[in-house]
Amino acid sequence: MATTLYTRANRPKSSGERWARRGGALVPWLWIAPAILFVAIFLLYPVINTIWLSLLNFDSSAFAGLTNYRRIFTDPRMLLVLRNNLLWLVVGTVATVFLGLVIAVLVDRVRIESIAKSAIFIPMAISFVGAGVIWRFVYQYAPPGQAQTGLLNAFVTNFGVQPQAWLINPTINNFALITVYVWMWTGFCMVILSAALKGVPAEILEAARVDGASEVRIFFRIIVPMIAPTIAVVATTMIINLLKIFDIVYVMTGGNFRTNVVAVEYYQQQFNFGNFGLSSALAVLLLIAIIPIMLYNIRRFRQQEAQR
Amino acid sequence: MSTIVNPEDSSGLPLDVAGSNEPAAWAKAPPPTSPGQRVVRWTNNGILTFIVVLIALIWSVPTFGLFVASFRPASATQSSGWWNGLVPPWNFTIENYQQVLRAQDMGQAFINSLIISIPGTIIPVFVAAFAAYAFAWMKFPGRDWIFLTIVALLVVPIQMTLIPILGIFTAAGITGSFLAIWLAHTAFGLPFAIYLLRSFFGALPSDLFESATIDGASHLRIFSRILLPLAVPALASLIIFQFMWVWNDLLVALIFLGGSPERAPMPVTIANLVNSFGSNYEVLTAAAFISMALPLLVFFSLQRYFVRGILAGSVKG
Amino acid sequence: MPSYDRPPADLDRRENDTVDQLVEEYTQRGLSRRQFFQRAFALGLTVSAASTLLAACGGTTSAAKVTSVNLLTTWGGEEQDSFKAVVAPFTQASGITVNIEATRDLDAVLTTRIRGNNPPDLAILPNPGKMQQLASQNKLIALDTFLDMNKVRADYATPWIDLGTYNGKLYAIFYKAANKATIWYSPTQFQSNGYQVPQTWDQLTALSDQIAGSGKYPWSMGVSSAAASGWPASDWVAQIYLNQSGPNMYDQWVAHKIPWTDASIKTAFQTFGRIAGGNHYINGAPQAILATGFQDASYPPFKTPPEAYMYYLGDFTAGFITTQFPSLQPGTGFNFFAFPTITPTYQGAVTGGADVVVAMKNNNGVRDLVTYLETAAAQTIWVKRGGFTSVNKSVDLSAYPNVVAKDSASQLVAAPIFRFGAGDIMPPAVQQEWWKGMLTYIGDQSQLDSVLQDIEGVAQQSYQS
Repeated sequence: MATTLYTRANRPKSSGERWARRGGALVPWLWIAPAILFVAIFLLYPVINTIWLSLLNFDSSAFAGLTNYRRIFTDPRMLLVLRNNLLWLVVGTVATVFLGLVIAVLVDRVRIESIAKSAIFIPMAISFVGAGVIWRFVYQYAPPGQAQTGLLNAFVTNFGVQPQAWLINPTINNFALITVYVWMWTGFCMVILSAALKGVPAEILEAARVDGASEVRIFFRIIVPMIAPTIAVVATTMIINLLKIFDIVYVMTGGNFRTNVVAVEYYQQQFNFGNFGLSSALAVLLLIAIIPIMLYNIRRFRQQEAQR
Repeated sequence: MSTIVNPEDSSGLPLDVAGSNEPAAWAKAPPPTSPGQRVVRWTNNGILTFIVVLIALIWSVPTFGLFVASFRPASATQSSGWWNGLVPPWNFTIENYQQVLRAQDMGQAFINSLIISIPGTIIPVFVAAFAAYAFAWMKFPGRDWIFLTIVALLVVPIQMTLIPILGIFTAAGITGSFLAIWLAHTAFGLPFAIYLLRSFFGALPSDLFESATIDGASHLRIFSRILLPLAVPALASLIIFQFMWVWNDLLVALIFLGGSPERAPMPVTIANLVNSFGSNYEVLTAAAFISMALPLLVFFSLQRYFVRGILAGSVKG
Repeated sequence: MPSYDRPPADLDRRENDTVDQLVEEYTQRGLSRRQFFQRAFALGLTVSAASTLLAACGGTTSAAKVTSVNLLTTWGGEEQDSFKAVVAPFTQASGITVNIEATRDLDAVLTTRIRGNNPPDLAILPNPGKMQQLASQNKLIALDTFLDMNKVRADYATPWIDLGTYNGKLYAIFYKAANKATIWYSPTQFQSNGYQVPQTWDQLTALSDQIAGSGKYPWSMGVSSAAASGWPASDWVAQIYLNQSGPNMYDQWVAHKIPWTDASIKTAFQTFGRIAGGNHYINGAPQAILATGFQDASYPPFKTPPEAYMYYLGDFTAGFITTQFPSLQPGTGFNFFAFPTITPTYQGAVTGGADVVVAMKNNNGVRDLVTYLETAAAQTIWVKRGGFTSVNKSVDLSAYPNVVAKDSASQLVAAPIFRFGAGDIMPPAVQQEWWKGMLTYIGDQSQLDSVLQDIEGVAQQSYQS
């Protein structure tokens, strides 16, 4: 075969790329058509409707421009909601992904792996109504001198500490709520990350050990980079979940005591206060917040494709 | 290479949910070492096991508390912590469970839950699998943007879609039917399912498809003969998650099955047990365990699909 | 643009004739729903406009006989069991089954189903304010078109009928009522400690100080109620306001004729604040008030030894007490005393609440069921089962199962001054903001002015619409 000078234009296409171009132009559309249909009717249509409503006044009777958005960024109550959501986003994502990863790595090395994983996973199977009762038993508060029926207060009063109103006190209540989320969702992260971990070839790790690398070093230098794509998938899912966090806050504090978040405020503005303009603007904000995350994901997928 | 997972690109996805049957070779079968090193390793393993047990226990305490409380009389639950029930004199009762199981229509509700959850899980997983295959392995204009839009819709709070969708269902005359709720759960489950499966499919190496291409196999054949068998672990974990979400759903059922209480699933029937003051919430302790049973059964029965090696085996052949 | 949230006002005038024709065909010639929509779309109506139109047709015509009706309520558990006992004779006699759907999130579910054009046949609302809102939006069926109004007037006092009326038409009948002028205590404990039941507010504070002075806590208080937290405190303020400023001021307050920043409202809040934040009145206040459920807070006066001596909440509290302490005898083990007099002119003033029955569809099942529920016979069934106070004058007081329930009912019916609980007849948005405001105020009483201003802000927007 004659030597060929590869340029950008005529370099041979990777097999993946050649594969991707197979079939007629219509074929891909047939494959995604059912999904598109569902998403367009059930999600996109309400979204477009919401965007429109967000530009109208509270009962959708007059055009309001960006008034609703201005209010979100000026009203102290709304700013608090945004701050709380940011707190949830950062703490919730870091905690679930980190704990999920650490637990996945740890359980991988012990003989009781199956039981341990089940224990972490079970909270996911509990209905939210059940979880609400469970955490009521944990956070319940009774004044000093009365029998503490909440586990946490029974625990701290044993050490002579005053019982705390975990869900009322504004310095701790947001973290108390995030803890519930971490308890529920770490199992999800662990399951997916653990699967990725099984894909890390044993030879590479053994080679590193023979070279005298410490376990911590192996974790950060080999394991984490190798399963980075999965970490990205899990983190993206958590971020989206946390952006629209609703149940935990609504059931446990109703958004009172400075714990409100965007989705709960959305719900209350719409169904309790009847302010459709403001509630819709809050929902649109969630959609805008997701855009950078999606762009990052697209970049990631394109890199992945270029490599295969 | 003995496995198909490429070290450069192992975005291996849910292959395993509750732990493979065989321990990871590199962790559990240390290479031959000196007796001294073996002692160190054994001690390390002991510490590790202790830490894992500790974490598992901490995670289980809240659920265990619920479990104990579900066997205590209501007045005891209201006046003392659940741990007091563990010390004599024991005062256990199955009254909470009787109350839930005796409730009118609970048997029917269980059947309804199955009728809702099974198609509500299978339809979105299949629709998503087709779409994810196209997004991962076909090229067409606007592909990435369509994908991005679908996944971005994951952030839409369900409450936002209820009124418009109910309007559509009512216009179509299907409100209150199982069809309505299947369609709704399919739509709500799709973005996550597509995202997860696309990540998994996209991570498969292209040589997999090479030989099939040479053989002239159609997309449908590749999808059903090569991809789906490979994707069993991913599909299984997706099925578990989607099943749990549909099974435990209250809001969607309340709205779209509105007006047809004879089709109400368990969460709706259970909600009926609590009075308007929410003051008899003890029944929820028992209800939580009764409604948890089936999702856990699904979880444990799908576990066998998460065995390491399915992937490697099917590729090598 | 999608306009599912508005009635099809966008129907073009020149198209009205054809639309009328369509409606006529649907209602009289039994066009199927599918045919109806095909025709409607051909006329250029949007999905939403067409379905609203269809819902409207369903609302005005009643040719078809139904065999079942759907009813949305907040009643679950033993309440629903009792309601089922009430409708059982109805179903037996008429052959119409009543499908009960319960949700504690009634506002949201009902709003969604109405806007999604799939309303239930009937609903039982815990707040007449919501009923007024729905009536003003034309979502309700006028009940006086089929009820015998002479019988209704004979059964209910005029204030109740007025509360169920909007623009001269009756839209609601009052069903399960509550007396909210009740302070719960243990007669046994009062006797052994030598406490006197207070008649006036001064006596009440004197007694509170006396108990607190002996190193005990006079009051128990809890306002936690998930997303509705704060409502028990708003009941306190409404009852104080009626006893303090009287019915005329109360009516103006409820109608937003006086602003929330008015001195009279501020005084009522502060009067409540002296109990909530009083001199060692409540163990763990203010945190304990916010963190304790209103139901859990009803127990301390009846524990052995008692952890508090008095608890204020409506007459449904008797249910919590008897469930938790089944051995207590009504009248001796537990009882209530009437809310003490603040301003002598308004002695004996009572606030109350009631669930109201409203109808969203007009069919034979709805008409028959509402007619049945209005009767004393239907209400007596639940009265006898306990946990139910009726405002129907024809219900015999002897039907109440015990002395406490009977006293509470007679206090409610015989009250010289009666007003509905303020929050329940205000626009729902104002009520919600008020509840939140109570939480802020209990947590930090120095914020009273900003709390009142916030409620006033919501009120200004809500009353103008």
